[in-house]
Amino acid sequence: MRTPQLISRCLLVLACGALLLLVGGCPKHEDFPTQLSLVTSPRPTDFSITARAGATGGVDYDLSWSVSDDTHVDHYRLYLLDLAPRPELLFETADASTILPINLPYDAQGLRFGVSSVSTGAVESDMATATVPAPQ
Amino acid sequence: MISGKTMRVTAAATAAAAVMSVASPAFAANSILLSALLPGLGQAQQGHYTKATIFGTAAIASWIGVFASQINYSRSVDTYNDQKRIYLAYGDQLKSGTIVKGSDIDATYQAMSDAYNKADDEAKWRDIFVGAVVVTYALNLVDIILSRPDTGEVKEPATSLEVQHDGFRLVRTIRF
Repeated sequence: MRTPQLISRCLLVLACGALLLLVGGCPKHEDFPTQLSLVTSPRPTDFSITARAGATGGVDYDLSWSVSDDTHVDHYRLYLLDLAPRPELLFETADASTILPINLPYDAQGLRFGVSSVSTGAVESDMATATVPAPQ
Repeated sequence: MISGKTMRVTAAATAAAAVMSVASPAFAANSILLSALLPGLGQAQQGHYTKATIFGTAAIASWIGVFASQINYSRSVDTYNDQKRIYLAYGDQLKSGTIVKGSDIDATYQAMSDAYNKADDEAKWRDIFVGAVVVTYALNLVDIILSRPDTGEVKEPATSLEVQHDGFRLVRTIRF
């Protein structure tokens, strides 16, 4: 076989091989990962704050809210909003009680609080917010 | 001094050599070689410039499409892998009892799904362009193997019309 023919045939084989590599060798992304099985709790609703003058000075506040289904609620989180770029965690309830009385040494009128539920699977819900009213 | 007859003989020999060279196996092998390197080059060497333009343009456009879609695909896969890493890390945090916001998990899952779907779309486009490259090369090679060089020779028409003093005559030429 003459040299030009040999070279051309080799190049043809190489071209075919390259095309096969191109077709079969293109990377393909892997399969979609299994979705996490999350235990979630509902977002609190009807979050309200009532303020009254405290007997020992300061101001007493009663915070209350409700949830549509408390089956998977482990506890709640109380946040103070607007004073920092991110909500500041103030308090975590010990149980799934939906009433939280607190006493502050000052009038917190105008401050905004947020409450969220934490499920038994450690997933936190979105927040419900309320603004502190003037003491009655 | 070169006589007119010598010049005619020389010109005829040169033309014959040119015709023989474009029809030789080495020339054909060289054309195939060029077409294997880039579709259209072999056709251009044989003088088929229209086909060369068509094959060359198709090959270049297909290759550009393959590379562009591969770049987009790689970007989408990178985004997907980043979001997947964050999403799976949420799972590890939950297993260890760390509280994670459900909205963050949902947002990450959505971003991961979007990146996955985008990667799927980009992969389809890449496959289309790869197919175009393969088809272009295949057609190009088949064409260069089957086609004969264009020697510039003007072929006589098989049918001709001769005008005569009392009318015209239709001539049909048959070659053996």
